[in-house]
Amino acid sequence: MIAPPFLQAVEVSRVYPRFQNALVALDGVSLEVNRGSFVAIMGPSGSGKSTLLNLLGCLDTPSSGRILLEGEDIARLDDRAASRLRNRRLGFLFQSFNLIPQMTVVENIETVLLYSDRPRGEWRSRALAVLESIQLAERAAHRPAELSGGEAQRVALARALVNDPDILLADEPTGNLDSKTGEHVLDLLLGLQDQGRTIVLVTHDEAVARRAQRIVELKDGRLVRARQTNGETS
Amino acid sequence: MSPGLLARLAWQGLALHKLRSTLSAIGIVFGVAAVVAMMSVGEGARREVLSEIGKLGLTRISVRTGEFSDEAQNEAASIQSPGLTLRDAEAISEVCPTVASLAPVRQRSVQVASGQRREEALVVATTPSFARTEDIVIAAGRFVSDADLRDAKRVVVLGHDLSEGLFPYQDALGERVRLGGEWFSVVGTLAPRGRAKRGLRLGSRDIDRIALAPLTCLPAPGDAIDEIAISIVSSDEVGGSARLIDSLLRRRHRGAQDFELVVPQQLLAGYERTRSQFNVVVGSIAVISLLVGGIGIMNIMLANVSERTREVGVRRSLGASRADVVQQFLCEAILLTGAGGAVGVVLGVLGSLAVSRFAGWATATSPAAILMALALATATGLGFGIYPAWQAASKNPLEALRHE
Repeated sequence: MIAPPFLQAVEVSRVYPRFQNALVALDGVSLEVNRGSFVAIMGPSGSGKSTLLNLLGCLDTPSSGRILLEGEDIARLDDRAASRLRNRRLGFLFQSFNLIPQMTVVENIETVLLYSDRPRGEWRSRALAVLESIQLAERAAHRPAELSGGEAQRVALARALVNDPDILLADEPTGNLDSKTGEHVLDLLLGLQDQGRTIVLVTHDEAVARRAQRIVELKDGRLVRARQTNGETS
Repeated sequence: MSPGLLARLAWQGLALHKLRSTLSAIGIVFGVAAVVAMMSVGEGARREVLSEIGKLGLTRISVRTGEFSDEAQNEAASIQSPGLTLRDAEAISEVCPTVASLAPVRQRSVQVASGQRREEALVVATTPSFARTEDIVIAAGRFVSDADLRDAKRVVVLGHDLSEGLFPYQDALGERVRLGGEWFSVVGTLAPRGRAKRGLRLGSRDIDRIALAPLTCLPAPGDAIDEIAISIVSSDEVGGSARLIDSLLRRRHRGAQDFELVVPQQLLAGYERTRSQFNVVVGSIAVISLLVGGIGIMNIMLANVSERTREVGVRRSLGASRADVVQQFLCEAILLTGAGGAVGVVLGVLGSLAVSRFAGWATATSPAAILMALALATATGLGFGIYPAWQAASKNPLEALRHE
């Protein structure tokens, strides 16, 4: 028996109802992501790439179609189950970092564990260990406003990783960074892929997308092309 | 999530705008402070009144001749009412079967002297039954006897404080004191009784400062007396007995209003009615204060939720459920009102102490009042925080993440 794809979108559509004309953000898109692979979703603004990523991450619900994780439909989970899934199996990385400003770096990372089943006693050590792994341990007590863009994105990456998720969903993670810092963040993502994590990255930058193993191109809410890359450095 | 963690999270949220959070809690602070202070004053007054009424005794009835209006005096004179006399006391004793004991009383404020020491005291001239009527407890010696009464013996029983004042270094028994212009032998002293603080005048005597003498030692024209102290067999009989005595005396006095019936049990009932009205007023003030404070809290919490929409989106993306978000913002509202309530309690207690010190009123802050005030403040946070918390939780995570 053939094992189902690790993460799969099946004929997924997302339509936003409007007063006059409904906005079709995604129109029957199907996608398969294998375990441990690095997939880039590319396309111009408004192509539906972020919408697809949000549907894969249970942050939104498709108007039709299914999202399958290891063969199980996760598109219509109730709030509690969807929250558990986001907390335990998914990690998010955003273009604008989305760190909580009133909390220190280490508290931001611990926030994920707040909603997990992990015992309180291991939160701090876990958060510090993951911070150490991205060479930011000395910034643990700092607030997000005191960090550079690159540091903030690395803290966001540490936060995404602290609960040991299977899948990392990154929405334009290098969009707010200079090219050198962006490269560094991409290197970190590739390192995570080497450790066996599945990465889905949204970008409009061809050079960034080429770092993935596979590029899926969207236009006007439809999948127009899917191709393999060499995972080359720009 | 543990309560400690929730509280820390809530504190971090509130600390974002310390001044705004503090100002919003001030409504609760003053509301709770006012309620606690008023309850303390009310409770103090209640305890004092109950203590005073308790001393009068709930099975007692006192018939007094007192100061009446000129109109009442003229009326009494025109219908030739003799006023309160010994014969009234005898009539009550004969007609009213529920009387357990009865003592006619004449009383005067006089100076009592012993050697160089002088004390102002109330001389109460009465019969031996006064001891039973007033629950007198003898500390040393004896009470006024029937023989003293019959022979009009110049003997006196001193209240505890009066005795201590006149004879600080020696036993008063067997000593002689001068009441007005006449010498009396001290045959007994009373055990200390205690008395409510100044300010309350329900008519109870300060037993610790009286000098008790035989009624016959203080004669009065026409057998006039100042009071008839009556003890009824049981508290259930007091109401009926009071009505019977009142109608008997009205008939004997030909309708003249020259006496006054003091029934502690009725005073208590009247006080309880006033007390429940006071409770309604305090309760209304509490509700209005906390309503106003609660609206302020809701306003601030709505502003907090609006400003922190993106944070809600981030938390949702990290795995917070709607229930987690509700819990977090609700905890912020409760922390705000709880802290406001705690400060309010402290201010209220200080306020009641200030009232007690500067106005001389009795105040008493009961733990139940403090707990109730804190519970009300917390409930206000819960009541007025639920809508903003629900608003935060019901935001679409995606839209919340995009919020600028």
